[in-house]
Amino acid sequence: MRTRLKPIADEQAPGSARAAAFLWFIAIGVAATAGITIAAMFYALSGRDARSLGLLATFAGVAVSVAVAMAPAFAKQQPSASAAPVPASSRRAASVSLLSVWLALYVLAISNMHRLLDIAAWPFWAGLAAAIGATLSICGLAFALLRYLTHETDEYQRLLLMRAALIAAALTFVTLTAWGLLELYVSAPHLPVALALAPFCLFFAITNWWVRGRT
Amino acid sequence: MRNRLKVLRAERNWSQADLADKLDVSRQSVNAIETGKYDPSLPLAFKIAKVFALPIEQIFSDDELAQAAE
Repeated sequence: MRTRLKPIADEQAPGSARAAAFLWFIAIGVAATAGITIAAMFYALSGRDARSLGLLATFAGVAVSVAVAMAPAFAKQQPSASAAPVPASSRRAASVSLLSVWLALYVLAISNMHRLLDIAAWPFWAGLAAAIGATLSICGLAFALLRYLTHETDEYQRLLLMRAALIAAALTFVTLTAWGLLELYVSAPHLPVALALAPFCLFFAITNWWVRGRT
Repeated sequence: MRNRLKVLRAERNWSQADLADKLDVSRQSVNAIETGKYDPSLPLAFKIAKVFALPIEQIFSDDELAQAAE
């Protein structure tokens, strides 16, 4: 076995090229699903009312803000005498957290779209196709995120990510169970099961930072 | 698990970032290993041994064995 010693370069974390590729893959997937959703909204709502503009503006705003926030995270870092470089792990944590928040917002948006599009009035097959289509986009994003988690080449960073995901999953179970009991015992407002991914993503965005802060 | 990573690194005048680059891991990983917060996998331990050109047992030692020896 031969060890290859690389010359000392910048602060770019090892394996980050592959990780960044996965994140870009996720980002493209998010942009594609958002684009398809917006196009579908335009098609479905053409000639109806202006409510679509509100949701469209929300989508566009979130997409632009995420793109702007992610751009410096992947921009090649230039040596600067005035500013200390941001560690690669921090940039990576910021990217993962932002993507998690974006995914949570996306889940919230598609969970409320039935009200805007009046999907209940659609034919059964059309409603089924809409549900499967939205689920597939979530599956794709979840798969891409999972691939990123499992393909992280730095074993310690991978451990931190897995730990954050595990804590987020535990918090999600606790929260949803508690809310379910509140629904049963004190008639709390009903929380659709379709929203389950949203709290996980929000918790993951937080635990991702919390776990790193503790190390 | 105890390790002599910090001492060995200091002997070679390497920063954590230098060692991280040679090991193809992040600086945080090197810091976590040095401070005992994280025990590296066997492949990474072998990599560390190769970078320092030392046998693994001269870098890492078992806590209980080290205490018994003291």
